[in-house]
Amino acid sequence: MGAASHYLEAAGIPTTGISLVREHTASMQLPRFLWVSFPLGRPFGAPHEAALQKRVLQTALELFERPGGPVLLEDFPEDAPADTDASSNQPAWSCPIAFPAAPDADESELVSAALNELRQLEPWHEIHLEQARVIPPASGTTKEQIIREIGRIAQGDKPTLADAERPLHEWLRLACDDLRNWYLDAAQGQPGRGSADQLQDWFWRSTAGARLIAAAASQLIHHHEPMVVMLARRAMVPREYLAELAPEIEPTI
Amino acid sequence: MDYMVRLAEIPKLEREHLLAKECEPFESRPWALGPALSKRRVALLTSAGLHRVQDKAFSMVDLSYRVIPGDIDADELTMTHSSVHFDRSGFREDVNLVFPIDRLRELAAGGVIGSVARYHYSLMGAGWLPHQIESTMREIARLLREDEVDAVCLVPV
Repeated sequence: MGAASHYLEAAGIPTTGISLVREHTASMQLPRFLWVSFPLGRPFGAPHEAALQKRVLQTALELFERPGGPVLLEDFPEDAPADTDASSNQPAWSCPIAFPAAPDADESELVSAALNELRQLEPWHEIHLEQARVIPPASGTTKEQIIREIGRIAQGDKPTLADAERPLHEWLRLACDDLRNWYLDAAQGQPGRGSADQLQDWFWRSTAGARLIAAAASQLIHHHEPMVVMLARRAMVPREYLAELAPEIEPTI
Repeated sequence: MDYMVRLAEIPKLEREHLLAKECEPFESRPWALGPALSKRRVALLTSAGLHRVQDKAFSMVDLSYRVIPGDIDADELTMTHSSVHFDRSGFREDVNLVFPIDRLRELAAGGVIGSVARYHYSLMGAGWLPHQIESTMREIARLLREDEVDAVCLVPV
Protein backbone atom coordinates (compact mmCIF):
# COMPACT_ATOMS: atom_id res chain seq x y z
CA MET A 1 0.00 0.00 0.00
CA GLY A 2 3.01 2.30 0.44
CA ALA A 3 3.63 2.44 -3.30
CA ALA A 4 -0.08 2.98 -4.03
CA SER A 5 -0.02 5.90 -1.59
CA HIS A 6 3.03 7.43 -3.24
CA TYR A 7 1.74 7.21 -6.80
CA LEU A 8 -1.74 8.54 -5.95
CA GLU A 9 -0.28 11.48 -4.04
CA ALA A 10 2.05 12.17 -6.96
CA ALA A 11 -1.07 12.27 -9.17
CA GLY A 12 -2.57 14.87 -6.82
CA ILE A 13 -4.99 12.60 -4.96
CA PRO A 14 -4.75 12.83 -1.15
CA THR A 15 -4.43 9.51 0.67
CA THR A 16 -4.55 8.10 4.14
CA GLY A 17 -4.08 4.48 5.04
CA ILE A 18 -3.80 1.65 7.52
CA SER A 19 -0.36 0.23 8.33
CA LEU A 20 -0.06 -3.34 9.61
CA VAL A 21 3.75 -3.47 9.56
CA ARG A 22 4.96 -0.22 11.07
CA GLU A 23 8.58 -0.82 10.10
CA HIS A 24 7.67 -0.86 6.40
CA THR A 25 5.62 2.34 6.56
CA ALA A 26 8.22 4.19 8.62
CA SER A 27 11.02 3.10 6.31
CA MET A 28 9.20 4.27 3.16
CA GLN A 29 8.45 7.76 4.64
CA LEU A 30 4.88 7.97 3.39
CA PRO A 31 2.07 10.49 3.86
CA ARG A 32 -0.68 9.79 6.42
CA PHE A 33 -0.72 6.25 7.75
CA LEU A 34 -2.29 4.92 10.92
CA TRP A 35 -0.49 1.93 12.37
CA VAL A 36 -2.70 -0.66 14.06
CA SER A 37 -1.59 -3.51 16.29
CA PHE A 38 -3.99 -6.00 14.69
CA PRO A 39 -2.94 -9.31 13.10
CA LEU A 40 -2.27 -9.66 9.38
CA GLY A 41 -5.57 -10.22 7.60
CA ARG A 42 -7.51 -8.10 10.13
CA PRO A 43 -6.78 -4.41 9.39
CA PHE A 44 -9.92 -3.17 11.15
CA GLY A 45 -9.45 -5.19 14.31
CA ALA A 46 -12.10 -7.86 14.71
CA PRO A 47 -15.15 -9.22 12.86
CA HIS A 48 -18.55 -7.87 13.90
CA GLU A 49 -16.95 -5.15 16.03
CA ALA A 50 -18.56 -2.29 14.11
CA ALA A 51 -17.76 0.41 16.69
CA LEU A 52 -14.05 -0.52 16.71
CA GLN A 53 -13.94 -0.70 12.91
CA LYS A 54 -15.53 2.73 12.69
CA ARG A 55 -13.07 4.26 15.17
CA VAL A 56 -10.13 2.89 13.18
CA LEU A 57 -11.52 4.22 9.89
CA GLN A 58 -12.42 7.62 11.31
CA THR A 59 -9.02 7.98 12.99
CA ALA A 60 -7.29 7.21 9.69
CA LEU A 61 -9.50 9.69 7.82
CA GLU A 62 -8.94 12.40 10.42
CA LEU A 63 -5.26 12.40 9.46
CA PHE A 64 -6.44 14.52 6.51
CA GLU A 65 -7.09 17.33 9.00
CA ARG A 66 -3.51 17.35 10.25
CA PRO A 67 -1.10 20.04 9.19
CA GLY A 68 2.45 19.14 8.34
CA GLY A 69 3.67 16.42 6.08
CA PRO A 70 4.92 15.11 3.80
CA VAL A 71 5.38 12.19 6.21
CA LEU A 72 2.84 11.33 8.89
CA LEU A 73 2.63 8.04 10.80
CA GLU A 74 0.49 7.70 13.89
CA ASP A 75 -0.33 4.77 16.17
CA PHE A 76 -3.92 3.68 16.85
CA PRO A 77 -4.19 3.50 20.64
CA GLU A 78 -6.40 0.41 20.97
CA ASP A 79 -5.76 -3.31 20.66
CA ALA A 80 -8.28 -5.73 19.17
CA PRO A 81 -10.54 -7.42 21.70
CA ALA A 82 -9.48 -10.93 22.68
CA ASP A 83 -10.72 -13.53 20.21
CA THR A 84 -12.25 -15.59 22.96
CA ASP A 85 -14.40 -13.49 25.24
CA ALA A 86 -13.87 -14.89 28.72
CA SER A 87 -16.75 -12.82 30.09
CA SER A 88 -19.32 -14.38 27.76
CA ASN A 89 -21.14 -17.59 28.44
CA GLN A 90 -19.78 -19.16 25.30
CA PRO A 91 -17.38 -22.07 25.76
CA ALA A 92 -13.84 -21.71 24.49
CA TRP A 93 -13.51 -22.87 20.90
CA SER A 94 -12.34 -26.34 20.13
CA CYS A 95 -13.01 -28.55 17.16
CA PRO A 96 -15.85 -30.93 18.02
CA ILE A 97 -14.30 -33.79 16.08
CA ALA A 98 -11.02 -35.50 16.87
CA PHE A 99 -9.48 -36.82 13.69
CA PRO A 100 -7.26 -39.88 14.01
CA ALA A 101 -3.59 -39.00 13.81
CA ALA A 102 -2.03 -40.67 10.78
CA PRO A 103 1.32 -39.01 10.23
CA ASP A 104 2.65 -41.89 8.15
CA ALA A 105 -0.38 -42.32 5.91
CA ASP A 106 0.42 -42.55 2.22
CA GLU A 107 -1.30 -40.36 -0.35
CA SER A 108 -4.24 -42.67 -1.10
CA GLU A 109 -4.90 -43.12 2.63
CA LEU A 110 -4.78 -39.32 3.01
CA VAL A 111 -7.46 -38.95 0.32
CA SER A 112 -9.74 -41.37 2.17
CA ALA A 113 -9.03 -39.68 5.49
CA ALA A 114 -9.72 -36.22 4.05
CA LEU A 115 -12.99 -37.33 2.43
CA ASN A 116 -13.98 -38.81 5.78
CA GLU A 117 -13.18 -35.48 7.46
CA LEU A 118 -15.53 -33.72 5.04
CA ARG A 119 -18.35 -36.08 5.97
CA GLN A 120 -17.75 -35.57 9.68
CA LEU A 121 -17.53 -31.79 9.37
CA GLU A 122 -20.52 -31.38 7.07
CA PRO A 123 -23.07 -30.78 9.89
CA TRP A 124 -20.83 -28.10 11.40
CA HIS A 125 -20.43 -26.48 8.01
CA GLU A 126 -24.21 -26.39 7.64
CA ILE A 127 -24.52 -24.76 11.06
CA HIS A 128 -21.93 -22.18 10.03
CA LEU A 129 -23.86 -21.33 6.88
CA GLU A 130 -27.00 -20.71 8.93
CA GLN A 131 -25.11 -17.89 10.66
CA ALA A 132 -22.77 -16.64 7.93
CA ARG A 133 -22.70 -15.66 4.30
CA VAL A 134 -22.17 -18.14 1.50
CA ILE A 135 -19.05 -17.55 -0.59
CA PRO A 136 -18.94 -19.78 -3.68
CA PRO A 137 -15.71 -21.72 -4.34
CA ALA A 138 -13.35 -19.66 -6.51
CA SER A 139 -11.97 -22.75 -8.27
CA GLY A 140 -15.41 -23.76 -9.53
CA THR A 141 -14.77 -27.25 -8.17
CA THR A 142 -16.44 -29.25 -5.39
CA LYS A 143 -14.46 -30.01 -2.27
CA GLU A 144 -14.56 -33.74 -3.03
CA GLN A 145 -13.18 -33.14 -6.55
CA ILE A 146 -10.46 -30.97 -5.05
CA ILE A 147 -9.38 -33.66 -2.61
CA ARG A 148 -9.28 -36.36 -5.29
CA GLU A 149 -7.34 -34.10 -7.69
CA ILE A 150 -4.83 -33.02 -5.06
CA GLY A 151 -4.49 -36.70 -4.16
CA ARG A 152 -3.63 -37.50 -7.78
CA ILE A 153 -1.04 -34.73 -7.82
CA ALA A 154 0.43 -35.91 -4.51
CA GLN A 155 0.90 -39.37 -6.00
CA GLY A 156 2.70 -37.92 -9.02
CA ASP A 157 -0.19 -38.59 -11.43
CA LYS A 158 -1.17 -36.21 -14.22
CA PRO A 159 -3.69 -33.55 -13.10
CA THR A 160 -7.05 -33.69 -14.87
CA LEU A 161 -8.90 -30.52 -13.86
CA ALA A 162 -6.53 -27.78 -15.08
CA ASP A 163 -6.76 -26.64 -18.69
CA ALA A 164 -5.47 -23.95 -21.06
CA GLU A 165 -7.93 -21.42 -19.70
CA ARG A 166 -6.97 -22.13 -16.12
CA PRO A 167 -3.44 -23.54 -15.87
CA LEU A 168 -2.45 -25.87 -13.07
CA HIS A 169 -0.86 -23.24 -10.81
CA GLU A 170 -3.97 -21.04 -10.95
CA TRP A 171 -6.51 -23.83 -10.49
CA LEU A 172 -4.51 -25.41 -7.69
CA ARG A 173 -4.01 -22.14 -5.80
CA LEU A 174 -7.74 -21.40 -5.81
CA ALA A 175 -8.60 -25.03 -5.05
CA CYS A 176 -6.30 -25.11 -2.01
CA ASP A 177 -7.93 -21.86 -0.81
CA ASP A 178 -11.40 -23.31 -1.33
CA LEU A 179 -10.57 -26.45 0.60
CA ARG A 180 -8.92 -24.61 3.49
CA ASN A 181 -11.79 -22.11 3.63
CA TRP A 182 -14.33 -24.92 3.76
CA TYR A 183 -12.60 -26.56 6.71
CA LEU A 184 -12.25 -23.23 8.54
CA ASP A 185 -15.89 -22.34 7.91
CA ALA A 186 -16.91 -25.72 9.31
CA ALA A 187 -14.67 -25.19 12.33
CA GLN A 188 -16.49 -21.95 13.05
CA GLY A 189 -19.81 -23.76 13.15
CA GLN A 190 -18.75 -24.93 16.61
CA PRO A 191 -19.92 -22.68 19.47
CA GLY A 192 -17.24 -20.31 20.71
CA ARG A 193 -15.06 -18.07 18.62
CA GLY A 194 -11.76 -19.57 17.55
CA SER A 195 -8.90 -17.13 17.23
CA ALA A 196 -7.15 -16.82 13.88
CA ASP A 197 -4.15 -18.68 15.30
CA GLN A 198 -6.28 -21.46 16.79
CA LEU A 199 -8.07 -22.04 13.51
CA GLN A 200 -4.84 -22.06 11.50
CA ASP A 201 -3.16 -24.45 13.92
CA TRP A 202 -6.16 -26.75 13.91
CA PHE A 203 -6.26 -26.97 10.12
CA TRP A 204 -2.54 -27.36 9.50
CA ARG A 205 -1.73 -29.59 12.47
CA SER A 206 -4.86 -31.77 12.76
CA THR A 207 -6.34 -32.50 9.38
CA ALA A 208 -5.60 -34.95 6.60
CA GLY A 209 -6.74 -32.23 4.19
CA ALA A 210 -3.75 -30.11 5.16
CA ARG A 211 -1.37 -33.06 4.96
CA LEU A 212 -2.67 -33.81 1.49
CA ILE A 213 -1.99 -30.23 0.33
CA ALA A 214 1.52 -30.49 1.79
CA ALA A 215 2.10 -33.85 0.05
CA ALA A 216 1.09 -32.28 -3.28
CA ALA A 217 3.39 -29.31 -2.67
CA SER A 218 6.29 -31.67 -1.95
CA GLN A 219 5.62 -33.44 -5.24
CA LEU A 220 5.30 -30.23 -7.26
CA ILE A 221 8.62 -28.66 -6.31
CA HIS A 222 10.02 -30.89 -9.08
CA HIS A 223 7.44 -29.82 -11.69
CA HIS A 224 8.62 -28.61 -15.12
CA GLU A 225 6.58 -25.37 -15.03
CA PRO A 226 8.26 -22.58 -12.99
CA MET A 227 4.94 -21.06 -11.85
CA VAL A 228 3.87 -24.41 -10.43
CA VAL A 229 7.17 -24.69 -8.57
CA MET A 230 6.73 -21.15 -7.24
CA LEU A 231 3.25 -21.99 -6.00
CA ALA A 232 4.48 -25.18 -4.33
CA ARG A 233 7.38 -23.43 -2.62
CA ARG A 234 5.63 -20.24 -1.54
CA ALA A 235 1.87 -20.40 -1.52
CA MET A 236 0.50 -23.82 -0.67
CA VAL A 237 1.68 -24.25 2.93
CA PRO A 238 2.46 -21.37 5.33
CA ARG A 239 6.14 -21.01 6.13
CA GLU A 240 5.61 -21.84 9.77
CA TYR A 241 4.24 -25.31 9.02
CA LEU A 242 6.68 -26.41 6.30
CA ALA A 243 9.14 -28.06 8.68
CA GLU A 244 6.37 -30.28 10.07
CA LEU A 245 4.41 -30.99 6.90
CA ALA A 246 6.81 -30.68 3.97
CA PRO A 247 10.41 -30.68 5.27
CA GLU A 248 11.79 -31.00 1.75
CA ILE A 249 10.57 -27.44 1.01
CA GLU A 250 12.90 -24.71 2.23
CA PRO A 251 10.89 -21.69 3.48
CA THR A 252 11.37 -18.61 1.28
CA ILE A 253 12.27 -15.51 3.28
CA MET B 1 3.64 1.94 22.54
CA ASP B 2 6.33 -0.59 21.72
CA TYR B 3 5.45 -1.65 18.22
CA MET B 4 8.42 -3.98 17.92
CA VAL B 5 6.68 -6.17 20.48
CA ARG B 6 3.78 -6.53 18.06
CA LEU B 7 6.01 -7.60 15.22
CA ALA B 8 7.58 -10.08 17.62
CA GLU B 9 4.14 -11.68 18.04
CA ILE B 10 4.19 -12.74 14.39
CA PRO B 11 5.67 -16.24 13.89
CA LYS B 12 9.44 -16.20 13.41
CA LEU B 13 9.66 -17.13 9.72
CA GLU B 14 6.85 -14.76 8.76
CA ARG B 15 8.56 -11.96 10.72
CA GLU B 16 11.86 -12.59 8.93
CA HIS B 17 10.04 -12.56 5.61
CA LEU B 18 8.34 -9.24 6.38
CA LEU B 19 11.53 -7.58 7.55
CA ALA B 20 13.38 -8.73 4.43
CA LYS B 21 10.99 -6.88 2.10
CA GLU B 22 12.25 -3.98 0.03
CA CYS B 23 10.92 -0.80 1.67
CA GLU B 24 13.21 1.96 0.44
CA PRO B 25 11.79 5.49 0.42
CA PHE B 26 10.86 7.02 -2.92
CA GLU B 27 12.97 9.88 -4.28
CA SER B 28 10.14 12.40 -3.93
CA ARG B 29 7.65 12.80 -1.12
CA PRO B 30 4.38 14.15 -2.56
CA TRP B 31 1.72 15.45 -0.16
CA ALA B 32 -1.61 16.29 -1.80
CA LEU B 33 -4.10 18.55 -0.03
CA GLY B 34 -7.89 18.88 -0.12
CA PRO B 35 -10.91 20.44 1.62
CA ALA B 36 -12.15 19.73 5.14
CA LEU B 37 -12.90 16.05 5.80
CA SER B 38 -16.63 16.78 6.02
CA LYS B 39 -16.53 17.95 2.39
CA ARG B 40 -14.48 15.09 0.96
CA ARG B 41 -15.55 12.29 -1.35
CA VAL B 42 -13.87 9.11 -0.09
CA ALA B 43 -12.88 5.92 -1.91
CA LEU B 44 -11.36 2.73 -0.50
CA LEU B 45 -8.39 1.00 -2.12
CA THR B 46 -7.65 -2.47 -0.78
CA SER B 47 -4.73 -4.77 -1.55
CA ALA B 48 -6.61 -7.82 -0.26
CA GLY B 49 -7.39 -9.29 -3.67
CA LEU B 50 -11.13 -8.63 -3.24
CA HIS B 51 -13.62 -8.64 -6.08
CA ARG B 52 -17.23 -9.42 -6.85
CA VAL B 53 -17.90 -13.14 -6.98
CA GLN B 54 -18.66 -12.95 -10.72
CA ASP B 55 -15.42 -11.08 -11.56
CA LYS B 56 -12.24 -12.76 -12.77
CA ALA B 57 -10.09 -14.10 -9.95
CA PHE B 58 -6.70 -12.49 -9.38
CA SER B 59 -3.74 -14.46 -10.73
CA MET B 60 -0.81 -15.59 -8.60
CA VAL B 61 1.25 -12.57 -9.70
CA ASP B 62 -1.10 -9.82 -10.83
CA LEU B 63 -0.75 -6.08 -11.37
CA SER B 64 -4.34 -5.59 -12.52
CA TYR B 65 -7.15 -4.11 -10.45
CA ARG B 66 -10.84 -4.73 -9.90
CA VAL B 67 -13.57 -2.14 -9.54
CA ILE B 68 -15.97 -2.43 -6.61
CA PRO B 69 -19.20 -0.43 -7.04
CA GLY B 70 -19.90 1.96 -4.18
CA ASP B 71 -23.41 0.59 -3.69
CA ILE B 72 -22.29 -3.05 -3.46
CA ASP B 73 -23.67 -5.37 -0.82
CA ALA B 74 -20.49 -6.27 1.07
CA ASP B 75 -21.50 -9.93 1.11
CA GLU B 76 -21.06 -10.08 -2.68
CA LEU B 77 -17.28 -9.86 -2.27
CA THR B 78 -14.81 -12.71 -2.35
CA MET B 79 -11.03 -12.85 -1.93
CA THR B 80 -8.51 -14.48 -4.30
CA HIS B 81 -5.26 -13.19 -2.81
CA SER B 82 -2.30 -15.44 -3.56
CA SER B 83 -0.69 -15.36 -0.11
CA VAL B 84 -1.34 -18.22 2.29
CA HIS B 85 0.32 -16.34 5.15
CA PHE B 86 -2.48 -14.25 6.67
CA ASP B 87 -5.81 -14.95 8.33
CA ARG B 88 -8.89 -15.12 6.09
CA SER B 89 -11.37 -16.50 8.61
CA GLY B 90 -12.17 -13.00 9.85
CA PHE B 91 -12.94 -11.74 6.34
CA ARG B 92 -15.23 -14.69 5.76
CA GLU B 93 -17.16 -13.74 8.88
CA ASP B 94 -17.32 -10.00 8.22
CA VAL B 95 -16.21 -8.24 5.02
CA ASN B 96 -15.96 -4.95 6.90
CA LEU B 97 -12.96 -6.31 8.80
CA VAL B 98 -10.98 -5.91 5.55
CA PHE B 99 -13.13 -3.59 3.45
CA PRO B 100 -15.09 -1.25 5.74
CA ILE B 101 -17.70 -0.12 3.22
CA ASP B 102 -20.56 -0.14 5.73
CA ARG B 103 -18.48 1.90 8.19
CA LEU B 104 -17.69 4.39 5.43
CA ARG B 105 -21.41 4.75 4.66
CA GLU B 106 -22.07 5.37 8.36
CA LEU B 107 -19.44 8.13 8.43
CA ALA B 108 -21.09 9.73 5.38
CA ALA B 109 -24.54 9.48 6.99
CA GLY B 110 -23.15 11.11 10.14
CA GLY B 111 -21.59 13.97 8.21
CA VAL B 112 -18.01 13.04 9.15
CA ILE B 113 -17.13 12.75 5.46
CA GLY B 114 -18.85 14.43 2.51
CA SER B 115 -19.76 11.38 0.43
CA VAL B 116 -18.85 7.83 -0.55
CA ALA B 117 -17.22 7.40 -3.96
CA ARG B 118 -19.13 5.80 -6.79
CA TYR B 119 -16.39 3.18 -7.19
CA HIS B 120 -13.71 1.62 -5.00
CA TYR B 121 -10.67 -0.34 -6.12
CA SER B 122 -8.88 -3.58 -5.30
CA LEU B 123 -5.36 -4.85 -5.94
CA MET B 124 -3.74 -8.17 -5.11
CA GLY B 125 -0.79 -7.02 -3.04
CA ALA B 126 1.66 -9.90 -3.36
CA GLY B 127 4.39 -10.91 -5.76
CA TRP B 128 5.36 -7.47 -7.09
CA LEU B 129 7.85 -4.77 -6.17
CA PRO B 130 6.68 -1.23 -5.27
CA HIS B 131 7.70 0.44 -8.56
CA GLN B 132 5.86 -2.18 -10.65
CA ILE B 133 2.44 -0.87 -9.59
CA GLU B 134 3.03 2.65 -10.98
CA SER B 135 1.10 2.32 -14.27
CA THR B 136 -1.82 0.58 -12.52
CA MET B 137 -1.98 3.43 -10.02
CA ARG B 138 -1.89 6.04 -12.78
CA GLU B 139 -4.96 4.40 -14.31
CA ILE B 140 -6.76 4.24 -10.96
CA ALA B 141 -5.87 7.89 -10.30
CA ARG B 142 -7.53 8.83 -13.60
CA LEU B 143 -10.70 6.97 -12.64
CA LEU B 144 -10.70 8.54 -9.16
CA ARG B 145 -10.44 12.02 -10.67
CA GLU B 146 -13.38 11.28 -12.99
CA ASP B 147 -15.39 10.40 -9.87
CA GLU B 148 -14.19 13.64 -8.19
CA VAL B 149 -12.66 11.67 -5.32
CA ASP B 150 -10.42 13.78 -3.10
CA ALA B 151 -9.64 11.26 -0.35
CA VAL B 152 -8.54 7.64 -0.64
CA CYS B 153 -8.17 5.28 2.30
CA LEU B 154 -5.60 2.58 1.59
CA VAL B 155 -6.20 -0.74 3.29
CA PRO B 156 -3.62 -3.53 3.43
CA VAL B 157 -4.28 -7.08 4.49
